[in-house]
Formats: sequence, structure tokens, C-alpha cells
Amino acid sequence: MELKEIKCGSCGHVNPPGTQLCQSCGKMINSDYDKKKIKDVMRYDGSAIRSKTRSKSIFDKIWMFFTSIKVGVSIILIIAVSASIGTLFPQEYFIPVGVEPLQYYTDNYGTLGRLYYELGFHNLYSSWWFIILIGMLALSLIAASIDRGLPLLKSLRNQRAKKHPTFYKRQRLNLHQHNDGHTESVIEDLKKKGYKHKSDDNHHLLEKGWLSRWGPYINHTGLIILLFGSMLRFFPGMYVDELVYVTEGETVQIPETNGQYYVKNNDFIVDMYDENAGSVFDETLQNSNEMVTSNYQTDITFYENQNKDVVGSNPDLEEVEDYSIRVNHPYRFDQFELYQSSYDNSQMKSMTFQLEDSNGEIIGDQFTVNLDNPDQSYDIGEGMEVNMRAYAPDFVEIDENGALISETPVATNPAFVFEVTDGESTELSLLQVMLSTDITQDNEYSVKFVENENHWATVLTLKKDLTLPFIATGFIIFLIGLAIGSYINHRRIWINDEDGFSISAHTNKNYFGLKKELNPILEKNGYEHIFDRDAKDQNESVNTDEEK
Amino acid sequence: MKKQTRNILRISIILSIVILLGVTLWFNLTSDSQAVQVGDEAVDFQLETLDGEQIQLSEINQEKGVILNFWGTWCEPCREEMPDMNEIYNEGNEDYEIVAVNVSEGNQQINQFLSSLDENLSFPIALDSNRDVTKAYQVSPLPTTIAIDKNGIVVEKQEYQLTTDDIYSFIEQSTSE
Amino acid sequence: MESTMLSISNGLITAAFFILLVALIPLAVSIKSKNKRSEYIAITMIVVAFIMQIGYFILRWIATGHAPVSNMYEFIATFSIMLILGYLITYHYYKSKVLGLFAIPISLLLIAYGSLFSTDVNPLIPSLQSNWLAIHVITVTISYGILSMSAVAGLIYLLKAIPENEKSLRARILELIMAGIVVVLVYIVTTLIMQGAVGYSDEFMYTDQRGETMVADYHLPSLVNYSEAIPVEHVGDEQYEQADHFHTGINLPPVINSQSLNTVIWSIILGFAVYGILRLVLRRRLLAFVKPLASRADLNLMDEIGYRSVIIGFPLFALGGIFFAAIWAQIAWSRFWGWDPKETWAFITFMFYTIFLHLRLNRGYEGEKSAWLAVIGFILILFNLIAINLIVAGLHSYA
Repeated sequence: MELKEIKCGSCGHVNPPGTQLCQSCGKMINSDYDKKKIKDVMRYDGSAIRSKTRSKSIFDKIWMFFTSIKVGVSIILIIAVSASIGTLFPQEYFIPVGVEPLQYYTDNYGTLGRLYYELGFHNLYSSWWFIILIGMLALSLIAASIDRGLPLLKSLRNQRAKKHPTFYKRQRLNLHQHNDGHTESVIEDLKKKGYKHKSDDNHHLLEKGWLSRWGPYINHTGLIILLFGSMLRFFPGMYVDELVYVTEGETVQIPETNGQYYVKNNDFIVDMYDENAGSVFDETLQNSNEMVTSNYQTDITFYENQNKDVVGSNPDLEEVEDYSIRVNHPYRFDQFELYQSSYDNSQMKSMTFQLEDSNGEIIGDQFTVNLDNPDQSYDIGEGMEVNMRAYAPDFVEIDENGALISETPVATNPAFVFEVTDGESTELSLLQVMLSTDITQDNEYSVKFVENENHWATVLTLKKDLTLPFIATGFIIFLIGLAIGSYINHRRIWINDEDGFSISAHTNKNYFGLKKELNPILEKNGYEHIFDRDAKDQNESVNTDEEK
Repeated sequence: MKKQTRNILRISIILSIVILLGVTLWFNLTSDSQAVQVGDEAVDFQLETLDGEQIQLSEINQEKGVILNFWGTWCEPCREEMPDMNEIYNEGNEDYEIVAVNVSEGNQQINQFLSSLDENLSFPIALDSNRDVTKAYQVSPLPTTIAIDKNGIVVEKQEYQLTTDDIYSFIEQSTSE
Repeated sequence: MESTMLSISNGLITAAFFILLVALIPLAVSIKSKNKRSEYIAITMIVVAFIMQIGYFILRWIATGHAPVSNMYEFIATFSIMLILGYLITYHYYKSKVLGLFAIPISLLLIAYGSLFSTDVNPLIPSLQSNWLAIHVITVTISYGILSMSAVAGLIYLLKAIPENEKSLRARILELIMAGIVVVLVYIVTTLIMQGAVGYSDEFMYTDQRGETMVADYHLPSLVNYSEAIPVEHVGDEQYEQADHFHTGINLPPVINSQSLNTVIWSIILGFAVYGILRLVLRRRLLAFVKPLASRADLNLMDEIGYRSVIIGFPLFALGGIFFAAIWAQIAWSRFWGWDPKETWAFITFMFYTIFLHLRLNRGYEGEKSAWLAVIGFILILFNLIAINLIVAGLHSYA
């Protein structure tokens, strides 16, 4: 059984159940409302913000729960506190690449770190409970807005200018004066300030900034769109965030494109600021221990594969264009972007050696071993030849057959068995980093390390984000709604001269500004300043010293 | 608002949110496990072998079952299982093929390893130097061995060293109808 | 040419500091005696100082070729200038002098803190080389300046409204805030003395998060240090010798900036020591000592200012601190939002002011409740500025 609709005793208008102030004349028709929850009855213009029914289904119960501001604020608070927990230790995507997470958190942060990991806090922002909180926020936004917005729309849409005297008295700003001769003038002055005028006999309504009331509902709509967009991120195909590692000179396939696109790293450039450039920065740079980078750049050639059919097959690459990817200047193709992320200069590329005899004299030319795909033999001249008999990129031990065992295929700790021959006799030696061991006895020659060269590799980030339009649109709408709600004020002034001059005013925010606008007009027309029942000192003029 | 409209509105909004949340959570949970599993269709690929030939999975798979063995010379269990695989392969392999997919290495390392073996390997060694096939199959630990039947379906997968029994089992699975 | 501009620029901001300090006198006089002339003098001085600060800003921009918001000092200087701007705007509407009496010292304290950081000009690293640097940071500092007015108004409200000898939680917390301000002051003075006058300098060599070898120069005895840090002495160009400096042996992982944390810990210890002395000397609470300054304030007006600043400042914060920041992050780092500590705490600040507005507008949280919330908001802003930048080392931590 529903609460009955309420018929106003004064003007006869039939109001929806729960309405406090008559929608037509503003008289209090229902004082049986929750005064704790509704402190200012004019906040929603006296309309019923929640319709009550006795038969509450589970959906009704859920709905009512989420329309509560207290619930909404609590959800926001819980989300804020949860978010702060994620900043205690770095999230998983901020820890160094390739490190095992459990290891990292335990090593660096001890038991607390381990607990953090076990609870899943290292991936807090995509954890199931955080997602549910966001979902609850969305429901709260929708429910609270609909429940308040629709009744408000109804009551603000067809406002009558004629209001009951109790309505006037109920407003925070209210004034009654005996001389009514200046009503027209006051109205004209107000109209000059942008107020729209509506009248009914000698009752008048002056209104401006109506749009302001919709600010919150617009910004909530924006937020809902934003939340929808961020939810889409989890849907397949909407979001790609991958690293693309390209060594200088290499061409690699771009992931997630089904082999359609390839990128070549022609050159990776790092520029540093010159500490003797003659600029204002010289002194700072000279004082600093580190070099300051001025630019990271990867000069790429972008290719399209005409033959993308089977995985692993040789691509038929057609050059699309050249581009220089720099920080703040990504390369765009299709729905993707390639960003300059970082670089890697730590992988060894080659090692250069030279042969020396027992007197330390250098024999022949230097030879360079390419660590990725080394040659077997090196003719160094003077009748000497060096052959690489064995090689381990990441040397760990020698097995029972005398073979060099490698731990990984990455050249981080290279070791070689070199055979030095002059055509007749051969010598063998084992070369590791900083250590040379003769294999054959009494070697006359020794292979000496000269220098090594590292690879330059660029690390690019491949990004595709189809959720971006939703999120951007949502947030822009939010900002517009926020601006409308904050910077514009909805001001209404009711005037009647039934019995002397009666004026009352209401605004959704900034009574200070309303008074500042209204009082000079009243003063000009010979009236007193409007009475503000919430102000302490009623004699204060607007530009007053606040100090007593 | 009419009671009926209000009810429809409330129910549909609440349900939509619950469903969307559910779907989101489901995607979130399942996004990590995308590796090729038993029952999936095998991804076709084409690679060059050590001998310089091109092999394509689908071509071989037309007539025979295929056992893919992802390996590397630095991987000790891979090195250990190779001779066993070779011996069993040499017993007869009309119905199946073993393709040893080497992950990321250059010829020098592979040849160095092969020359250390007592016997030459009889099955083809495919060179996946870009890791394209390794990534397509989401192979993580090495060795990983995958059995594909004649219908192109993955019927077995093992992410550690094969014993001789394992090898026979893989052969049987890839050749069974 | 540029270095001349820089010198003038530095001179301007230093002069502005002193003018603002002196302006407090006519301001206080105008409150006590309601003298219009003092008020006029005070406001004129403040406006002049502000113009000089703008001069500092513009000249430094021209000299370096980029907006002077690229390191800690520059950012804090800009923030403190915006506090003055916030006050001037508020004064224009509400003509409150008491607000200035509190806002100006806070602004000065802030810039004093900022000047502890390197005031050198730096060239921009690649990720900062964008117009968005200026757009994002300037908008957000303006919003901070306006939002801060709500905290100042809130503080005045609390000082006036809370009785000085009340044995309540709220009085104790307010007193804690007073103590906090003492701590900050002590920290600034200690650093100036230890670094400048005494020249205390203990160097420690350690390995940072990225595996690089770094040397930290401690200006206070080491209470906490980096894991496996070795005390060293700088003997040459890149040469360091092992040395014997005081340290407690408490070591923390390099993700925490132990040097900053060390300074913070010292500040708290010394700060509370000074606070303790002050309490003994004054024989009453600090808040009782400060209260008279707020006695002339109109509580309603403070409440009004507290609310209006948030209503005006919050949309600007959403625009500059979230929206512009996201656009820039997308262009520079390929992701508009990564939940890094700085972004997350900006989000928390955003949510906090949302709660503020909802509680105020929908639940009637006015007066004292609102004042407390406003003060908390400012603390969140400071936390984001200081703690996140200094203690949690990361991508965002250069300013």
C-alpha cells in the first residue's frame, strides 16, 4: 500500500506522496518527514526524494540502500583508503622487469612485504574487491541521482510564481516592508541583472542560473560514463600495453598485430646536456655527479607485412615510413601507438681479442667475436689462426665431456675455448671474464681481451586503448557538470505586494553573493537589506569588516 | 513516476551493474591463463630448419601426428632427453613426426651442442630465433613438449623432462585416432 | 643576459619574502585598531610583493626557456606564490584581514621550506619537455592556492571556536597541529644551520633501486640509512675512500629515501623538543598563545570562505591536477593513469574534497566539522607534495 498523494489545503494542488512543500504554492503540507536526513527542506525544493512503498522487494531494498548519501560517502571513503594502501609498497608493474614478485616483496620489505603480496595488494587496483567497490560506486551514483534528480526536475520545471506566505517565511532570506510602491522598479532592476521574470497576478518569480541545479547530475553522468569506460578495459581487444624490445639494427614483429606490422631500430640516440654549453644550466650541470639526458630517441622504419599468414614464416616487408620516436612524441599506426619507454645498453654484443706471445708482443691483428652468432675461425695474419672450439654465453661449468655448459642463452658471462694454430702445432686455452686458463701445457701464445661492445636496444611501449574515448568523454562531461554546479548559482526571488512588499530569496549556494546582488537593489529602492536568519549580525552591510 | 516504470528501472539498473561487474571480474580472472592447453587447436606455423628447409606444421600434420619439443642448448633436461627421443624416433616413425623447436639460439650454439652428441639427431630441428612460435604457444618453462594429433588438436602437454615412458606415451597419443 | 635575468629573478623573490613579512605588521595593526590606513598599507605591500613574485616567475621562465615548475624548489615557490594569490582573491571578495594574518606566514613558511632544496636551474629531462608541464602544474598550483584558503579559514575557525583549556580530543588535535608547525619551523632552521652554517656533511655510498652506485650527503647524523651503505669521504673527482661516520646501523631498502627520512625523524625529535620547551616557558598550550590572533575573526565568514574556496578551487583541481595531468601522462608515458603514488594521492585528495562537498551540501556539515575537514584536505595536499616526492622514490618524484 502506497502512501497517499497529498492534496494541498491552500491551493488544491495534488502532490506526490512524501512531498513536504506543495509543488504549487510552497505551503508545508507534510511535516512528517525525517528531519535528521532532510535538514534543509528547500534543498530539493520540498519534493519527496524517496518514494516509500511497503512491499519492498530485494531490488527495492538494494536500491534504497544505494540512494543514501551516507552510503555513497562511505564507499568513496573506503575506495580512498584502499587506494592509499596500494602506495605503501610499489605495485607489481613498478618492480623491475623479470624479477619474481614474491621474492621481490619479501627481500625488500620483509614479512610485511610478504603479507602485502599474499593479500594481493601488489595488484590492488585490478583486484576483485576493488572492482566491486567501483561497481558499488557506479550504482550509488546512478541510484542517488535518479532518486533525487527526477523529482527535482518535476518540481523545478513548472514552478508557479504564486507562493503561500509560509513559504516566504520559510526562506532563509526574507523581508516584509509596508510600502509597496517600488515593486516594479525592483523587478526591473533584477531583470537587468539577468533574472527571468514570471508573474501570476501580483506574485512574481525572478529566476536565474537554473542550469546550476543540473550540475551535479551532469557530473554524475560523466563519472558513470568514465567508470563504464574503465570497466571496458578488462574486455579483450580493448586494451594493449606491451613492451617492444628492439636492438639496434634489428627488425622485430610488433605483438598483438597478428604479424601485420614490423618495426626496425635504425638508430637509438641518447643526448646529454653539455655542461659547457654556455647556458644558464652550466653551473648546475657541472656541480651534479650525473649526466642529465636531454633527449631519448629511436629512429625507426615502420613496415607492413604483405605476407602475414603463418606464424614464423618469413615476412614480406613493405616499408611504410620512417619516424623518430621521442619521449612525448609517440608513433601512431592503426589504433596503436609506440612510445619511447626506456633503453638497454647492458647486453654484450661483441668482444675483441688479440694474440700475444710469451714476451708480450702482439701477434697479428685483433679479432672480434660476435657474441650472438660467432664465427668459428679468425685469420689474424702472420700465418696464425685462432679457432673458437667452444663457446658458452652464460658460462657456469664444464661438464664431464669437457663441454662448456651455459646457464642461459644470454651473453652475460661468456667463456671461450680458443685454439691457436700456426698451421703445425695447436694450443688451447679457456677464456672467461677476467680469467684465462691454459688447457694445453706450456702455451707460447696467449689470447688477451682488448675490449667489448654492448648492444644498444630501445624499449618501446606498444599501446592500444579503445576505452580512452569513453574515459575522456566521461571526464570532460564531469568537468562541465562540476563547473556548472560550482560556478553558477541558481537564484530565485519571490516577490508579492498582496499586503505590503514581501520578498524572499533562495539559492542553492553562495547566499553571500545573492545578498550582495540583492541588497543594493533593495537599498536603491528605499527598502532595508534583506533579513538573513542565518547571519549573526543583522546590521552588517555587505562590504563589512568581519571583525568586531 | 509510475510504480511499474520505477520497478523496471530499478531492476534493470541493478541487474545491469551486477552482470557487467560479473563479466568484468570473469575477464579479469581469465586473462592470465591464455596458454595453449590440451584440447585447443594447434597454431599453425612455418619455420626454417637447421638444414635450411622450410617446414610447416599443417603440412606435416596432414598425414602424421606431431610432437613439438621446445628446447634450448642451455637447458639441461632438454639436453638429456634428446638422445632418448632420437633413439625411439629411429625405431620407426611412419605415423608421427618430432619437430624440435629451438628457442632463440643461433647456429653456432646448436651445432656446438649437436657435435657433442654421440649420434646425429634424425628429426628436424626448427629454428625459432625470433621466439614467434614460442610466444604463439605461450611456452614458458623448457623443455615443453606438446603432442598434436592428426586432426590438429593438442592432446598432451608436458612442461618438464620426458622419460622414455613419456616419449612412448606422447607418440601413442599423437598417432591415435 | 640570461644570468642577469636569473639574478634579478632571485632578488625579486627574496625581496618579496621580506616585504610580506613586514606587511604583517600593518595588517595586525589594522585588525586590532580597525585602522583603514593600516589596512591599505598592508594590502598594497602584499600586492607589490605578489607582483614581484610574478616577476620572479616570468624572468626565470625566460631565462631557462621553460616554466619554472620543474623541480622541488620551483614547485614549492610557485605554490607559495599561489597562496598569496588565493589570499588576494579572497580579500577582494570578503575583505578579510585575519585570513591574511595566517595565510601569509604559511606561505612564507612554505617557501622557506622550498629554499632548502637546490635552487639551481635545471635543464629539462625528456619527459618534462612539453607544454603540458606549464599547463598542468600552473593550473594545479592555482587550485592549491585557492583550496588552501579553506584550510586557513578552517584553522582560524578552530582557533577561535575551541576553548584554550578544554580537555577534549579536538583541543588536543589542534594543539598537535600547532606542534606540527613548530616541527616544520625547527626543521627548516636546523637544515639551514647544519647545512649552511655548520657545514655538517657525512657521505655514504650505496646502491639505489636501479642498481646504480650513489653517494648520499647527510647533513644530520645518520639515524636511518640505505641498506649496505658504506660511510665514505670524498677525496677526488669520482674517488671515495672509506671513512668512519656516525650511523646507528638501521638500514632501509633503497626504495625509501633514507636521507630524507633521516631528516624527517630528526625534525620530529628536535621539533618536539622545542615544542616541549615552549610549553614549559609559556606555561600554557601553544594554541592558547596563538588564539588571540584569531579572536577578531567572524566565524560565519570563516565558514563561508572555507566553503567557497573549495567550491571554486575543487573544479580547478579536477581540471589541472587530474585532467591535464592525465593528458600529459598519456603523451609522455603512454598511460594516462597508472596508480603511481603521486597520482593515487591526487586521487585521494580529489575523493576527499568530494566527501567534503557532499557532507557539507547534503548532510549539513557546517561550521566546526567543515573546518576540520578543510584542514585535513590541506594536510593531504602537503602529504602528496612532501612525503610522496621525497620518501617514496619513483617515476613522479622529481617535483
